Amino acid sequence: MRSNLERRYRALLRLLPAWYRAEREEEMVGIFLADRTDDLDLEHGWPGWGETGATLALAVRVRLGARRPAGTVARLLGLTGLLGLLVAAAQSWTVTLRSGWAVDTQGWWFDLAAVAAFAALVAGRRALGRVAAGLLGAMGLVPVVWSVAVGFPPWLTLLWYAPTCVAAVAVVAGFHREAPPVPRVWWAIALTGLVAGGASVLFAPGLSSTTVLAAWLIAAVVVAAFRPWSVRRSVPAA
Amino acid sequence: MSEQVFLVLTALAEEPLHGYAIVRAVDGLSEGRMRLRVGTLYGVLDRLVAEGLAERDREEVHQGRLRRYYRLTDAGVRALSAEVARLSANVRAASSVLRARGAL
Repeated sequence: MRSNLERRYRALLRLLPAWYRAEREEEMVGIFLADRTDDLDLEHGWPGWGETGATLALAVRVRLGARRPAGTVARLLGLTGLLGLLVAAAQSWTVTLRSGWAVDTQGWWFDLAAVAAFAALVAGRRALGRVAAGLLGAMGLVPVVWSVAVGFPPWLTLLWYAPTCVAAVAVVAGFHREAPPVPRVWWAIALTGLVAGGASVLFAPGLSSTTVLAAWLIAAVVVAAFRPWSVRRSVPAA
Repeated sequence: MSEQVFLVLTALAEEPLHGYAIVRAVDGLSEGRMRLRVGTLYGVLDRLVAEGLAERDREEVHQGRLRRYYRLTDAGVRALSAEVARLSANVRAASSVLRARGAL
């Protein structure tokens, strides 16, 4: 008969996809319970925080693995979101250059974090890219929470910051250790996005919700045009 | 190569081991510094198998529980040997510097 502890471990393993559990569940449960033989523990014990965190991390890696469609989508979403921020940065720099230097420095930090995250990921510096994206997500979350807390209509804020937070989460979750390398075509995508971003505000009076929408649109169109998901990766020598 | 991967490869270099035995071996090899969580262990094993450095061996049932054994492949032995050579060179270089300072 199964103990309560075993049932709890099996419930924890439900974080993993069914196909993975079918392969691994029995041997994993065996390891979980190998050191927990006390009757009281088996009746009233729970999986520890450490095991829970490690299982959750494994679930993310397995679901968003190199050959999993969900992983491909998450990584594409993350990079496209960062590209949108680069396009918006190009718009901001173009408007700034045209109208002088009266701009808010908070925006610069945002641009810097987006550039760092994107460049690090494409250059293969995954840990740095995830940290920069995490910072970006945190910087984006603060205004959203603040605007909701003070009862401001947050739609305009959400239009800018919600995609940023989604992109940050997608990058942090999708670019784990087993994620495949980012195709080099993303450098060309970034260059095209930056040029298009600058060009999109050449005749605009200033930045607005329309230019923000245009930034996300340009990012989506440029990525769709280059189709980075169809790029063949070279297999590294063993 | 991360320390986790290095220690799992080292544990498997001696003989094929099942998951719990790998956890115990890594604990022993690291003198208690590294306690592999089950989720972490399977992340490492998945990666090693995907990269051809380890493969599944036999399966046994012990006290009603499934035990699946893993063994090192020839590529795994080569990868571990290369890492040992790299680390040994680093240790020799560091030892030489410390000896010159009279700290070793």
